[in-house]
Amino acid sequence: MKKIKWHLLLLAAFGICAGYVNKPPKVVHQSMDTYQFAYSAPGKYYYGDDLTSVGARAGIDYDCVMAATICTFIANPASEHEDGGGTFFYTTDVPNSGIINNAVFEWF
Amino acid sequence: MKRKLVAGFVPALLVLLFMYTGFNKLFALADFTSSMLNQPIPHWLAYVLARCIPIAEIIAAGCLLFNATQKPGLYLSFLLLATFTVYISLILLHVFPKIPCSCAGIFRKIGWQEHLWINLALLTLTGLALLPYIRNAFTHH
Repeated sequence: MKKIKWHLLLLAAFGICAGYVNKPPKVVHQSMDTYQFAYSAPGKYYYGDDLTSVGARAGIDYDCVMAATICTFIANPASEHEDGGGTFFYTTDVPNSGIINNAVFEWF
Repeated sequence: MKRKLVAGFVPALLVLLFMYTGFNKLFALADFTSSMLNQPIPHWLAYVLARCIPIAEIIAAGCLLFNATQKPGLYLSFLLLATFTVYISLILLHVFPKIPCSCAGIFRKIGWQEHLWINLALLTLTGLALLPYIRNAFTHH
């Protein structure tokens, strides 16, 4: 213990505290329900639904394109999409959408 | 003088960086695991790395705290930084089929390009701090 660098230990403690203070907020599922879009089948078909309620897991059943706590999805702005209720829409029709309209679209 | 500055400043910077990033990941492990699952790597590897990366970062920072373990700490830090730098470079070179989100680390809101510059700077500084050890190794052989 004699050879420990105490000033570095202080920095380490500061780093740990900063790591705790800046940890990402917990995901509130209610705020995520409306605008979650996932690729559902090889027919290039998207739907808006509460992905967590159907047991989907981020990164396994669908991919996030932004911070995982926000978890938005790429959807093709040129295509129609179908929501969970069977209504077709374009991404521009969705208010406050987390969809990235100008992102490079890719099929998962 | 410059050598002393590097020898004092770089370990301090790395301790702060790795303690912050390591514990930040552990405090929100589910979130970090989710971010890792978004990377273009097999899912089993994502689960393994989600646990190994923060532990390796904390070990590297821990080693830097003691005189006796500073050298392995610097080598481990260099290895971690180099690995991540290569990974970012591969992403930017479109080696992977998709560009994943850059949300898995400390700088959640910046892009891969910025990540690369920051990493290159840190890698260079760590390399400079390692130079005396490398020179010593060569002179003793």
